[in-house]
Amino acid sequence: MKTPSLDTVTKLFNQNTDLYFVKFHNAGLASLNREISLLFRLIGDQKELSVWPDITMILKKIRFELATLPVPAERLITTQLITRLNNSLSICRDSFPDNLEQLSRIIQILSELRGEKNDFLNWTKSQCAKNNTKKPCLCLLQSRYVRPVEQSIKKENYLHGVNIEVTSAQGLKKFNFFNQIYFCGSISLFSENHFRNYEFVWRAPRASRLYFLSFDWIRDNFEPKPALDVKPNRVPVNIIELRCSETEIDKKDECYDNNNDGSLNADELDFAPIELILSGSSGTTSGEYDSICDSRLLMLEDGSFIYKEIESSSRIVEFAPQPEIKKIGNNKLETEMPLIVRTEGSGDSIAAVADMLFGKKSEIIRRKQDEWKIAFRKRLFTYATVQDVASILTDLGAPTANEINVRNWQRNDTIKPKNEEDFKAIMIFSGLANQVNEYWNNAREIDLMHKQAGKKISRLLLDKINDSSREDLEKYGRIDVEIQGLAGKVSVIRIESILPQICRVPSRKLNKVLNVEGGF
Amino acid sequence: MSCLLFGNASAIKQEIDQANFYVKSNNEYKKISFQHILRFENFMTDFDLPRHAILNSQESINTHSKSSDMVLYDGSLPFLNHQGIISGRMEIIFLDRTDPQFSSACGELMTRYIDREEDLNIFNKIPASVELVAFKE
Repeated sequence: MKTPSLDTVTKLFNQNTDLYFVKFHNAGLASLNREISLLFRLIGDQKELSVWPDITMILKKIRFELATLPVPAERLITTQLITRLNNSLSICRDSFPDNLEQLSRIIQILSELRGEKNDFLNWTKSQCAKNNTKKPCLCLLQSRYVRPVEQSIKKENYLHGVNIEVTSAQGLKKFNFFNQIYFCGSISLFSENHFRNYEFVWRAPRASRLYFLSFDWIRDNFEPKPALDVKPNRVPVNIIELRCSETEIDKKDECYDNNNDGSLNADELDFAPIELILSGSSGTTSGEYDSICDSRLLMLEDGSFIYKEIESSSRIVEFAPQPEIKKIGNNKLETEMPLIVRTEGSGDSIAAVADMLFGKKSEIIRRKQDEWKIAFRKRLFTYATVQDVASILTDLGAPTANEINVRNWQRNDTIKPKNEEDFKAIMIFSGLANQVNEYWNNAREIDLMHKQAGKKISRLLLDKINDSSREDLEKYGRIDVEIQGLAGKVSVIRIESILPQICRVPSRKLNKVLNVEGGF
Repeated sequence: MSCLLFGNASAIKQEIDQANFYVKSNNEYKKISFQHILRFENFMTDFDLPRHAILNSQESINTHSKSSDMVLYDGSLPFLNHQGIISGRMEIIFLDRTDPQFSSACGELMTRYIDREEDLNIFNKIPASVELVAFKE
């Protein structure tokens, strides 16, 4: 990446950036929003029942995508999406007849919207032509949309030859400067909220003109103050409002004003699947003798999520001064760290590669390991406290049995205690005294294979990490590595945010990348 | 005057290695890096007299902090992690608006500003678009 000259930066800062609010009036989208909001009100307390969680997610996601992505509606409102909603409609027919009409209306509007062009694309195209912009940029909220949008614009030539760079908010952290940046979505989405803080896009502007493209049915609450709110400090932008109802955009209906009841607060528009995942996790029942772990939910830059147990560790990539794979305690994970995860296939990347190295015998080895873990937990759960168990294990000859260690030993992701005497005590406690050697040797074999797997992944990742893949990480938010013989992929994805609250989740949910399915 | 800087060691090394410039000596221009001036002990390959060192233990930080006239924080995270633990006669804090913890660091700094003894007018002109506060505690 070429660093801009000092002149460029000085000029940019001296001029002071102009920040434009561009509000489009689109009757179809406004109507869709109105009907979706009405449906959500009608569902009320039933939102957790039957098909409603699925329908809610689909509708929130499509509303969010239609309001924030620069692609024609037909790319987002796919026939599969309409079919899925129609299937839900048939279930509603019997169970929720009161809401049938409302859902039908929404499906009807979505079908009609499929023929619509994209307001953001039309306007960006005309602006670039009008201003003869040399270096424009289209900025999306999330990096996971960058590649499909980029491909879609290129393939269909939506911008008629305008050479535009597509990036995400995170991509604007680089020293990459443009003449104009067109932000797709309300400025409130590019601000600070519970999950992320994208205020830097206007606090550290990367162009002399920033356009925030949104719709008049979305309410913004933007009253910027200097970060250090002391005179003579000021926000680094001049704010200018533009309304686009008089342009080529639909003029059939009157524009919304901010107090109109049908308008939507940008926070409500924000599609935060993390909330759905959190609400889903609270009701999850754990499997038999599955341990419940204190964990944190990490939001990754590509829009996926992962639970990480606080007491456990993860692998990250450190790029400077030389690319290096590092093991780090989960309590030390921070935003923007490039985390190594398994994105396709189930489970942890190390365990998956170890299984691959084990070959056919992996199933037997894992089953044997599960046997003593389950027997141990089965016995452990009959005691009132973990401390009681630690005392018993000490009496049975375990030299390092304490509350923390016992908690670690019973977890599925730990392999075995370091000390063999601790292991013997666990076996006696679990009623497996006659099979100590068998289980110990099995666990040692897993331990060795995990170490080999760790080295293999590190080697493959380091081979893959070069300038081009680093650019991929910056632009698209991830690097994917296919490992021969292993189903699925291992990826490096940057951590976008870490939820402060502690979640208690079953161990089988840990380290698995959770995605919100479907869509563009 | 001795100075203690809290920042990212990799970033410091990168800056020291990559920021090259020329100096004129005996009518000849020589290309040098910051390492020639700063002489970080940790990055020296040959025997030389070091001027600076990267400290990587809390113990060594505590020892050096006693004799530091100035403490510099390069970035939001170093500031949030170390402020209050180490205090220099003078503290200079650089916060980058793109730092993930920028907002928290500003909040922390403003909390200290509210309890200030007096404002300091040490800059005649603030560079465009840069925000700044200077105060005595």
